[in-house]
Formats: sequence, structure tokens, C-alpha cells
Amino acid sequence: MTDEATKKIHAWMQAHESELIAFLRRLVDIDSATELRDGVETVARLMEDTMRGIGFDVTRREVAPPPEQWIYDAFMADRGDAGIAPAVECRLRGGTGKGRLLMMGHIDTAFPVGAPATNPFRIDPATKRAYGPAIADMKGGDAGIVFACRALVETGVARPEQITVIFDTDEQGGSVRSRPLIEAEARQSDWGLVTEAGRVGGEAVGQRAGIALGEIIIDGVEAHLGTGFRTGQSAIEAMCRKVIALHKLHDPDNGVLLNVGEFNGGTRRNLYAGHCVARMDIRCVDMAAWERTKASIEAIAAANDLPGTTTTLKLQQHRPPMPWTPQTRRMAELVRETGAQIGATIDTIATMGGSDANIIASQGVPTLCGLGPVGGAIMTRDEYIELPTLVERAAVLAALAHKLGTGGVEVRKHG
Amino acid sequence: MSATATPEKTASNATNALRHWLHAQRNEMLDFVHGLVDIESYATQPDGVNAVGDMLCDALGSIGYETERVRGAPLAPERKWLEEFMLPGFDRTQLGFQRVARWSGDGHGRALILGDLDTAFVPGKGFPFSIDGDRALGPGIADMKGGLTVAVYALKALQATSLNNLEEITCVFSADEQGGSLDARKPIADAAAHSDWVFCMECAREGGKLMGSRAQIGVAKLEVFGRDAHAGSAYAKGISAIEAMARKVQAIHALTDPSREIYLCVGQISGGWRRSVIPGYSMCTIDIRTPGPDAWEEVESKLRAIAGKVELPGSHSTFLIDSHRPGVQWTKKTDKLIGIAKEAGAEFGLDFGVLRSPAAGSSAFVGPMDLPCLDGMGPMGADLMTTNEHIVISSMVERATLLAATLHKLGAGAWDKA
Repeated sequence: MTDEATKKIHAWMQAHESELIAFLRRLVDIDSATELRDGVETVARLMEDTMRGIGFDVTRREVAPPPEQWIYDAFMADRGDAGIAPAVECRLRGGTGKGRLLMMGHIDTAFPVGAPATNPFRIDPATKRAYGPAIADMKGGDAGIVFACRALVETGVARPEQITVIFDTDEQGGSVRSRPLIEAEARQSDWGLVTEAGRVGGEAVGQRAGIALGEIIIDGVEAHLGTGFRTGQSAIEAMCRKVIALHKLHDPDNGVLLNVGEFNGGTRRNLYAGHCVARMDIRCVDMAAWERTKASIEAIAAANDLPGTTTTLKLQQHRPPMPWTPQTRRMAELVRETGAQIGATIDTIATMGGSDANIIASQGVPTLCGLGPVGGAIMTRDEYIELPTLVERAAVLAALAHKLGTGGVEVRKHG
Repeated sequence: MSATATPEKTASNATNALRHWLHAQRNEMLDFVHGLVDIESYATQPDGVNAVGDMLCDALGSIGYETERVRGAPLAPERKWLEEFMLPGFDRTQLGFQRVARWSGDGHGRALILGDLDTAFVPGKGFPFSIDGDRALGPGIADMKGGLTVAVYALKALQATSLNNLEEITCVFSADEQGGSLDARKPIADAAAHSDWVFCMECAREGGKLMGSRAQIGVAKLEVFGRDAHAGSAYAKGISAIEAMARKVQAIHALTDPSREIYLCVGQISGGWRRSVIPGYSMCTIDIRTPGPDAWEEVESKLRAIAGKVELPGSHSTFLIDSHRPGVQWTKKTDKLIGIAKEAGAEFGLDFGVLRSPAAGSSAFVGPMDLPCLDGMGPMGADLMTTNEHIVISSMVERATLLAATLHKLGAGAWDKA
């Protein structure tokens, strides 16, 4: 580790600030809603060309829908997607340091199609903020990866022997297609760095909850209220009983968040409902909490609380928890130290949100997230980043890569 | 053409004549109901509803009834919400016509016959007419195209046998019974205002039972508002309208009390828009059935309390309720009308039970006028609103005979003698 490398990288990044901002503007103004294949493809090609220009080998990787139709439907059914653009996988070998670093950003957005046209990139000099759809989540971080890679190459500092960058295209669709690709690459990596936005308070993220989705389908016995009250069994009544039981599992103090976010049942007001569906989001701080919660959900679904109704439960944890480990704590220290070297205070904290970092970490890879520029108001018209942190975080990212490759955190033992 | 009373015939002879005539029409009746069933006529299909109305009015017009197309009255502003509630997305001014068919003679007494042109089968959800032994299957055949056929042929029988001895027979055929009769209510009430007895052509219930009373029913719409918040990053700011609604639904269903003939059902529910967002909104619809006004008021006030309760701090709700069918009470006049109908039935070997119905239909608007009403005068039918909806074919002749013979007895003065 040498402070000289960090200084060099920071100086390079400051010298390229206007170029970095111009690149980010381009990214933000291209509409790349997950389901807008052409738009995502335009960003993918821009990334492909740019990374190739830096010296990376670039491969486009097709990502297939998950085998479970309900998982796919849960994320994409109401978005009418015409297929997903292939992911962009970039690889650069020949670093003089050790180890294999995986960096990730997603180039799709959660905004409705058309958002950039009505709310383009803009800078407010008064607040020193830049605004635009998905600027924080996470085009700012995508630009950060590109410029960190350039800085590593152009300054000639030692870097990990191999750097792989994946820009995936369905993160806002739960990464359910990209997951196998990410897992495979993670298995061959020593560290993972993901550039979702830094938290509003400026922090990076060292721990993320595991996120699961669940669907409960109840079939009742449809019958007319007036004439069929002896035979009718309301799927709505059964569902309401289960919803109340499920919400009792919500226990933030013990790292479990459970939200029934949608329900829908019945076809006519005068019939005992024959069908009711509920969808829920379950976040657990670690695998122990998840196993415990999963068992409770299964018991609630199985409970025969209204005879004559039948319940089907579908449950899948699509983002496993990302736990703190001694290695990630060490990486967080490097982030703090590097930030201090360039005049920024960067703590690393835990959140109950998920990202692709969960998937990398699930393969036993020490991973940090939240390494993009600091931003907020995500998924609103006012989504922003703190503009000074754009250069700052890109510099920290490059310096961190340098430090990892030169012994900052040991390489993994690969079985 | 106008039939005249034939007082020289004895009641029993008259019943025999009606029965004999109707028996010969069995196949024609089956063809008629087949024709009606082949027309899709959900309330939002005005062309179909009008075609069914035309078939009935053509048949009755050909035996001397004057027919007209009418429309209901606009709703009071505070009841406007019912339009969207009953037939979502449908412009009520586009409904098919309500039909009134009236025969006037120089006999005795005024009868009102009620039927519905629309069925419960939403467009595209029907199935083809078929015959399976003594059962005829089809969408809306029991509710209530079989009943319409029985009414038309009973009235034809009275004319054909010259046994129509009444002063007036009025038929009101509703175009929007499945839409809560918002439009049909006025023509029904107008006709009831100058009628003595009412018959409604719903199918006879299990075991061939008629209905002597109908529940007071209504509908409600409950909306709960919480606060949207992301389930991961902002869960503490969220207020789940789904949770609050789930608790209210339990309380609503707990008001059901079969021993008191009080039934409630949350028929439709929805809430939230994204799994990962704590839902800020939920709504449900409620169907409410009570035996009469006292129970209705009690249930309404309990529902208002449930709706108003704040389960989760910061949540609130809105609640709309309307008793759109006042129902029919079982009175001494009902007993009297049942007695006359039973007498008519006995003359050709038909006995039947009469039950208190926990449902309500077009007859519901005559209850407040204290008119004697018999509902379920149609053929025996079952499995309503399913792909097995059917009537018993042989009961069409039987029930048409019952209606015609009962009308004839009323025209012959049975009401005043009883």
C-alpha cells in the first residue's frame, strides 16, 4: 500500500471530472428501463465500447429467465418486457498485483419507460447536486466503475492480476436472470465491489439483508352469499387470517421485515370469494433469521384455519443475506482510510435493502456495496447525487482496487 | 284481442284447461327458453338485453299486451357511487331498455309479474344450451330465462283458453337486475303502486320451494388509507392498509349470524401495488343481507364502527353503504296468497314449500308497499352462476300452470273470499 498511488489516482480523477460528468449525462439521458430492451442495449453497447477502449476484453452474456415462472412473473409480468438485453462482461488481465477483483453495476433502471425524456440530467450549482432518473440507482456508480478502471490503467498503478466488471441488465427485475452468471463469476473472485449509491449519510454498505419473495394463493369455495351460505368458504377471509399471522413475524429488532405488499381476491361482491392471492417481501438479516422465518411462514400457510380452503405457498430467497465478515470489515477499514486520504469521511454500515452484492457475497466472497456517489430520493423525479462525491467515490474505488491487489485483504483460498 | 272471463267454468275445470293447454306447449316452451338462452344478455350487453326484451314483448304483444320501453330515474348524488360499484366501467345510460307489458281487461284485480332480462354471466363466460334428460342447461336458464318462459306461457294460456279474468296484468322486465336494479327500481315501483298482487319469476328453490320473503340487502365499499413506504429502507414510515383491512375483514365477517338470517361477505378485496412497498391503500366490497329494516340498521351501525376504527395509528378509512334492495317481508297477506296458490296447485296435484330467502331480486322493491308477493314462480332450477346452471324441464309446464291457475283464482275473487 502506498499513499502515492491513491494520490495519483485522485489527481487523475480530478483532472477528468468534466469528462466523467459528461459520460454520466450520456448514461442518464438514455432510457434504460429494464423492460425497454432497446434502451438497455444502447447503454450496454456504450459500456462495451468504452471498456474495450480502456483495454478490457468484452463478452456479451445472454441471461435466461429463471425456471420458476412465478418468480419471473413476480418481477416482470406487469412490465411487458420484450426480452432482456445480454449482460456486459468485461475482463482485464495482466495487473501487476495479486488476485481477482469483481466489480458490478446494473445498467437497467426501475423508472417507467419515458422518464429521461421528461426529466433529463441536470446540475444545480446551488446544491451541488446532479439530478436525473436512475442517477443514483445506479448510473452514477456505473460511470464510477468505468472511470476507476481507466484511472487504474492510465496511472499505471499496481492493480489486481485480473479485474472483471459485469454490467447486468435485470437488477431491477430481481437479477433473477443474471444470478447464475454473477454466481459463476463470483466463485472465481477474491473480492467483490458494487457501486450502488452511497447512503444519504455518505456511508458505504458492508451488510445487506437477505431478500425473499413469497406468494400465497388461497382457493376457497365460491358460492352465492344469499343462496350458498352453507357451502361457501371465502378465500378472502382465509387470506386475511393469514395476513394478520404473517405480519406478526415482522420483527425489526431481530432482523426480520415482512410486508404483504399486495393482495387481491374475489370476482363479485355477492360471492364468497373462490380465489385470493397475496404477495410478500421478506427481509432477514442473516440465514438463521431466514430459516426461522421461512419455517414460520410455511406453518402459517399450512394452517387449516378455514376448512374447505386450500393454500399454496411459493417462497424463494432471491438475494441471500450479505453478512459482515472479518474480510469485509478489513475492506471497510480500507475504504475509511482511503477516504481520509482524499478528504472524505466514509463509514460502512448495514442496511435491509438488497443489491447484486448479495449474490456475490453468497459465494463466500468478501464484498462491499454502496461505493457509488452519494445519492437519494431514489425512484422519484428528484433522484440526485451529491456531485462532488462522483469524483471522490470513483477515486476511492480505484484506490481500493489497487490496495486489494497489493495485499490489503488477502486473496481467497479457492477450492 | 282480449279474452273475457268465463265464470261458468268451475275453478277446477279452469285449472284443467290451463294445464291441458300448457302441456301441449312443452316443446314450444323448450324452444322459447333455448332461444332466450342463446342470447348473451349480461347487463352491460344492451343489444342482448334488448333482444331478450323483444322476444318477450313480441310474444306478449301478439296476445294483446301493450308494450313499452322505459328507463329508470337518475340517482341522487349521494348514491352515484353505486353506478361504478355495480357495473364497473359501464355507462349506465347505455343499459338496455326496461320493458313494461300491460294487459287491461274488465275482470277483477291487478297482478304484477316481475322478470329479469339480464343474466349473471359476464360476456364470454357463458356456455352452450344443452339438454340432459329432464334438465335443460344454459347460462341464465334458471336465473331467470326459464322463469321468463313460464310467465309468457302462463299468460298465453290464460288468453288461449279465454280464462283471463283480471282487470289488469302488468309485466315489468328488468334490464339491470345483476347491476343492482338501479334503473329497474322506478318502473317496478311505479307498476307496484297500482297492483294488488306480485309474482316474481326467479326459479323455484331446492325441492321446488317458492319464496315468501326476501332479505333486505345492500352493498358497501370500504377504503383504507395507510402510507406507502419502501419495505426495506423505510419500513418504519409505512402504515400497511392491507394489515388494517385484514383486521376489519375479520370483524365484518364476524357479524354474520345465520340464526338471525344476517349474512355478510367481503366479495372483493385488493390492496397495494408492489411487493416491496408497504401498502398505503386497500379497498373491499361488502354484500350485506338482513331479514328486515331493524336488523339492517343494527348491522349498518356496527359496520360504520368497524370502518371507523383505527387499527394502526395514522391510518384512516372511507365507508359508503347503501341498501339498494329493501326486501320483502312475510306478512299475513303473504300467507293468504300462498293459500290461494296452494289451492291452485292442489287442483293438479302440485304441492310446494315456501321458504324465507336470504337473497333478494326484483321483487325487493314491492316490500315497502306492503303488497303480497310470491317469488320463485319460475321452474325448478339449481347451480346458478355455474357451468351446470339448469332447470327441470317438466317443471316449466307445472309452474306455468301454477301461475296461470293462481291468477285465474285471483281474478275469480279468491282473495276477497279467503
